[in-house]
Amino acid sequence: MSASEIGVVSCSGECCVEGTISRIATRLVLEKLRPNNTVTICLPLFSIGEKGERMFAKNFPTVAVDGCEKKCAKNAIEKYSGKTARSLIVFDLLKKWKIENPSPRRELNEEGVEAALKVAEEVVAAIDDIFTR
Amino acid sequence: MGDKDAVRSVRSHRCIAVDGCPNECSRKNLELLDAKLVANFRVVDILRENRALKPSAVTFLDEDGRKLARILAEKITSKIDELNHKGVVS
Repeated sequence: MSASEIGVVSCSGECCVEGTISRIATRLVLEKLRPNNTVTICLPLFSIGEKGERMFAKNFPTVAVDGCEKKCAKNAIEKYSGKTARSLIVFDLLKKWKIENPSPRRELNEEGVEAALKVAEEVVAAIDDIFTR
Repeated sequence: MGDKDAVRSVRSHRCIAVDGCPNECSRKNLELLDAKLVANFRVVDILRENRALKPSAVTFLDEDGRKLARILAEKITSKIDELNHKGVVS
């Protein structure tokens, strides 16, 4: 797959800390780790049917970064635009890394930010893998 | 994305939409779901009303960003108190 840009779609849920971590991780990717070839797709805007967001997700690879097993980001992209190139679930990653109760959800503490950075590195690995294919 | 619990929740409780930008996706999503929308706020309006505050960081809020968040939180709280005082039925 040849791609110049990749869309990163983050969870927008507020019910668990994994949602907060997914958003911070996505921002870290966009601002610091891969600023030149990533864009974000606003999930609420996407879900109300904004054509630009849906067209982008149709034409460019997307990485869904979901907080929980409901996988709203992945499901929304696949329902309206097409298959996601990669899908990550923060809850599963934290479980795999044995990180429990990483942070309050309103504002990440040091441990939460560290977890977000680890998730961001996973997103970057997914992005790099897409670019090398 | 059509999650049954979420849909049931916004239809059975009074909702306040808080939108960051003029696209007002929260409000529009709630309207699409036929939710009980009782008020809506836009961060762009709070910014306009508080021009001296200039938040610059996105990922982690800076001091001005925190001040604006508090101002908005107080507005939302006042609205909740007003709605409860009026006895708007849930």
